[in-house]
Amino acid sequence: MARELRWWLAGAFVACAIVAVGYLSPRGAAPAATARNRQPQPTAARLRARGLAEQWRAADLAVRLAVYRRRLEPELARRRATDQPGPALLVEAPDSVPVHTRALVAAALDTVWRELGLGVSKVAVGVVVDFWRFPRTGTDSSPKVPSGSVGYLLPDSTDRATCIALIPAWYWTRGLTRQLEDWLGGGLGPCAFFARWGVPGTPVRLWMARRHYDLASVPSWGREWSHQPEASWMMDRNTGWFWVAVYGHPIAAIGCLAGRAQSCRTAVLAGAGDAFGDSLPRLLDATVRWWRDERLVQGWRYLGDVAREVGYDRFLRFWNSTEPVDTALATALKMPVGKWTERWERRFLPRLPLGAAAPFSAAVLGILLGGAAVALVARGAMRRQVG
Amino acid sequence: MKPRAVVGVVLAFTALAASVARAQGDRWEREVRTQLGRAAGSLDRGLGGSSVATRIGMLNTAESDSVVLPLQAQTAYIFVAACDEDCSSLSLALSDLKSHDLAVDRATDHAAAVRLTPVATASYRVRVVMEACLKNPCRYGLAVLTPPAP
Repeated sequence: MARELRWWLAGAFVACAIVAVGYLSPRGAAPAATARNRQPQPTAARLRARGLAEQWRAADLAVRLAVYRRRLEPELARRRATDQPGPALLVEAPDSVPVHTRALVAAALDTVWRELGLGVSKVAVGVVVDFWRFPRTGTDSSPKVPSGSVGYLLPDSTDRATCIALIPAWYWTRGLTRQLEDWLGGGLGPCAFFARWGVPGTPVRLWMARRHYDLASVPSWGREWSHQPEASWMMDRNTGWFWVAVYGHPIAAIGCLAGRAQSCRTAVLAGAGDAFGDSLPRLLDATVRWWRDERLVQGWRYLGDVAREVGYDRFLRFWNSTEPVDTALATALKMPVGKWTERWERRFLPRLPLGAAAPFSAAVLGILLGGAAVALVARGAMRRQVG
Repeated sequence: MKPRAVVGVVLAFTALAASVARAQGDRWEREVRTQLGRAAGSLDRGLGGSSVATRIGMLNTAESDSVVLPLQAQTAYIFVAACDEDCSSLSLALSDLKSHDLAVDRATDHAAAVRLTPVATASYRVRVVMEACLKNPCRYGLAVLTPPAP
């Protein structure tokens, strides 16, 4: 074999190796299951036990919230009679929590209430701040309640103008008042929306109930948080997207991340127009793994941000509208829902690259390889001319 | 007014008012009471009639509430309903228990009133419909008045 031909073959092999390294890495692919992380399939008995435990926890939370509402009634009535703004507060704490903690929590809650502009609200709010690390379950044989259970008892036919929020606080680090205010503000959840704009009209109420109030989880129309929330757990500016986290979302949420307005619309309006066969659920257990159940990336602050942008009056008209949700929301936003949502999503994350588009680094590598090949050919051609 | 009629209506309201007792006292309810008193006063001006009973409650948009009352034959009754500042339309309807409407006021503001002099002593249904409420729930009030016999 001629020496020159060997050089050509070696060059082609090296070029193929470089391309293979660039393109054949497992980027974007889910890691294969190994013996270490593979979970054994639960038995039927275990599945049944889990189901029963879930039912027990739901019943336990319902009872707890109903008891809290009854305990808060005298304070709620007193505030109503005297037009006193702010929520009624109940602090559940073990003896190890200092006595002045209640005053700290009350002050922080008043600050949050004022910053959210809630004032004397038509729907009164009762807040239970729970400092117990492990909630008491009555007996040792009862299923364990997950620590940090968040729950809401929304206004219902028996009490149309009271919303109860249960906020866990065992992880609060003493001294960080701003952090406490952030937690309390976030913990008010849908109750803050009810306090500011009342009970939503039927279409919005059905839509929100269907989605477990995921878009109204945090009243974000107040001041900016001390820590600016970002979806940084989904991407790192240096290493790129965490594909497992991305593909843990529904397809509409992924499409919305990629800048597709129609997908954004689908992600936001999921559940709108669906009917409930029975009465609306009044108990909301927010102790969910939000990174698994998120229907829209950062969706927990969506309606709060809508309210901040469109203002009180327009949001009130949307919230209380009898029109279908998509019509009411588009009217409030003064633009199509998908278009506004796509722009909103860009505040937290850059556009997700989907499809066959080559990454920038790969394009540069390809151009360099092509240029090198052209240069080599030109050099060989020049040598032959001399000979 | 016949004492039996008064007692019957009062008992009916007392039994049904328990569910709203807890909600008494906020400024929207006080506003409703004031409006109710004003509306009743304008209907009853100078006649010296009596307010038999009052019921206060709250409803979301498009919801309704009804109460069944025993009414005496040949006794004139005035039913007055009013709602808070966030409510822009309230309806009041009076019917028999077979749902035959006897008197209706589909008001386009936050007060409604109907008059009825039953021909027979029986139970009648009074229905309040919250047609439009800007900020749910809206408080409403219902009062039953009996003008003095001429």
